[in-house]
Amino acid sequence: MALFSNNSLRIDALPSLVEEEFEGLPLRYRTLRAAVYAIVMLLVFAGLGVLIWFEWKEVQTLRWGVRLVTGASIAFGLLWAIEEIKGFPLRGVLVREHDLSYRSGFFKRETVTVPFNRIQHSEIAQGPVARAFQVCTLKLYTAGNSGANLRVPGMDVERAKRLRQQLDERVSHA
Amino acid sequence: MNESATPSPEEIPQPLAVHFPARRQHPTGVFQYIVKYTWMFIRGFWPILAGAAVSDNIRAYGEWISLAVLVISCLSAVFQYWKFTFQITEDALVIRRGVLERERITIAFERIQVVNLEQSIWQRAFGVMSVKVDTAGTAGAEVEIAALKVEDAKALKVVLSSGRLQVESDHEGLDSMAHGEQLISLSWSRLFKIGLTQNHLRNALIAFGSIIALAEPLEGLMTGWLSNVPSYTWVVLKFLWVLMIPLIAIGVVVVGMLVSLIGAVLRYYNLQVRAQSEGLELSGGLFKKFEFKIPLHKVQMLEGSSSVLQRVVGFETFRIHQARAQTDDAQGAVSLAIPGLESDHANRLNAMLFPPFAGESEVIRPHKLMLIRMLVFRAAVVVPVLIWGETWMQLAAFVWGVWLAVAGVNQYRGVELMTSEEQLCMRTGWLRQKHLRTELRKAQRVVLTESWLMRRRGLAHARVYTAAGPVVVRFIPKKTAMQLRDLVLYQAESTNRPWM
Repeated sequence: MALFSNNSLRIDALPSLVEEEFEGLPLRYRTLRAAVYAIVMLLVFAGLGVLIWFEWKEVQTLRWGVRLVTGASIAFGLLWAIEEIKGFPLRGVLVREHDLSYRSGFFKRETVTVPFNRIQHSEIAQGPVARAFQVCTLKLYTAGNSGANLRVPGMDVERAKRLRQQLDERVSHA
Repeated sequence: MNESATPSPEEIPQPLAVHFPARRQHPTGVFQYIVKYTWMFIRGFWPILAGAAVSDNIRAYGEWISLAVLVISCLSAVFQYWKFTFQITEDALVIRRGVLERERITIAFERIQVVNLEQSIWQRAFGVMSVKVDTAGTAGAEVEIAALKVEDAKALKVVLSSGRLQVESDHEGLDSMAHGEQLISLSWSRLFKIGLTQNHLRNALIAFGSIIALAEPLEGLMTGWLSNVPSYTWVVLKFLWVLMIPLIAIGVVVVGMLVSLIGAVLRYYNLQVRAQSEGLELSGGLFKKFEFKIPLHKVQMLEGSSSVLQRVVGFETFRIHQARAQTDDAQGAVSLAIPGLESDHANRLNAMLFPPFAGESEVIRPHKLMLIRMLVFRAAVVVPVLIWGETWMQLAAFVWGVWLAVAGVNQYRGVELMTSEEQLCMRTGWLRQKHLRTELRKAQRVVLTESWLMRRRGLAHARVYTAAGPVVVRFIPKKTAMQLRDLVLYQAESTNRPWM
């Protein structure tokens, strides 16, 4: 039996999560997000345009309502664009020896960290669009809460698979 | 029917069935299934029932319909009972069930979080109990064995919660259960106090709600009775209604207290908490008896709460949280509540579940921004009424606003996180105070969130998720939050001790 020791912990000396070390997601994923953005905005404005074109008489009487809706759509589009443009470089994964972290969001930045020895099972999901861009979503499940506890969308398929293999080895060793 | 009843031989792995063959439940389980299925039918076909209340045509067939429902539920109950078998193998509980769709559930002993025995009053007449097994799997995965003879149920519980199969253990198990150190035992006077310190207002509201719901069918009777009341009473009432207000208030308080008392007696009658080598055991209940058992290392979180009334008497209610898929009690999550703990008891329970706070402990307080945001949100509700409301509404809104502000300041003052190297204790609340205590190594994941506004002030929210739910600390300096994250991750990743 190893000699028992109970040294006091120096909080400053603990390994700490460094924000600069996060690795970004593949640029293909940025293209995908941009495409989604473009399609949604196109649909919104096309819908607005069609409504205004065909209901021109109503538009004359409801002038303020129309302006409000148009303004709201533009504001929404702008905010979303800022979120995507500023937020994408922040999106990233950090794999350390014992845990995995995922950071995302510009307006609301969130960093989730899951220790490897708490993972119950993992999952790689890929829809048809994601397949076209060769990215996938890595999902990690921990105990006690329904739903995926860590979702990393837009991961490179090869990288996700390698990571998952490492995870499985670790879990089977534990 | 006998043909289909014998399970086909290839379905049962023979070597495992040496000590304990696959068994059925006690026959009274059929009654429970009948009740369950009838209830399911009523809930499933309530449009027909509603139609029956309106349409004479359907009502004409009422007897036939109810007979059919009864026959169907009886038949399905019998089949369900016949097809439900359970078996104990070396390291798992195996349940086979389902009539049309056969299901085989294997629950490894080590995955079992809580074993819960329940006995309703009519089950007591037959000497049977139901056994509920909760694993921390996906929602609704908990398994219930509806009826078992009391001694079988208790033996099963010992096997399931000790995590191993002991062939000769039945009697030893029962003995050790009786011998476990008694931590808490509720006397009548204590029970009375618990009843008096419940949330009367809520209970009174529930009571009045159910009275109103019940009164609806009696409406015809009521109007008949009201028409007999001499008309001058209404005239008198018209002038004396001011006098009625205190009367009604007293009535509400009395009803609320009565309901609380009755509820407390029903739920906590003869409540006992025992400490054993393998874990904590709770038992109690008047009509519906229960017995919980949880191994110590499976306790994820300890929650203590106390209202103003309870603090006056010196009581605290503790709740033991284990890993679970549902965090909501209403959706069938099992949680173990221990009411009426005086401080010495609370300390003993704490000492049993957690090592004492070791090393230097640090106190973390939220930033003022939390108070500001709380006040802004509350003002946003009150101010519109203050501006546009009528005079009496303005008055009420003013009083309400002052109350909200005072409550906000005090609630903000009540938030405090204490961390040591291995544990954390989060305090919240003002009138109703709450604290959560957990060991850092039980963390499942750590989440830091910062909004755009908070980032400019260098603040962040930290959430430490355990398998029983999160501990949330909001508006703390980001540096502190990151240190907390590092510490929690270090504890969770460096330990080899079992956490679930």
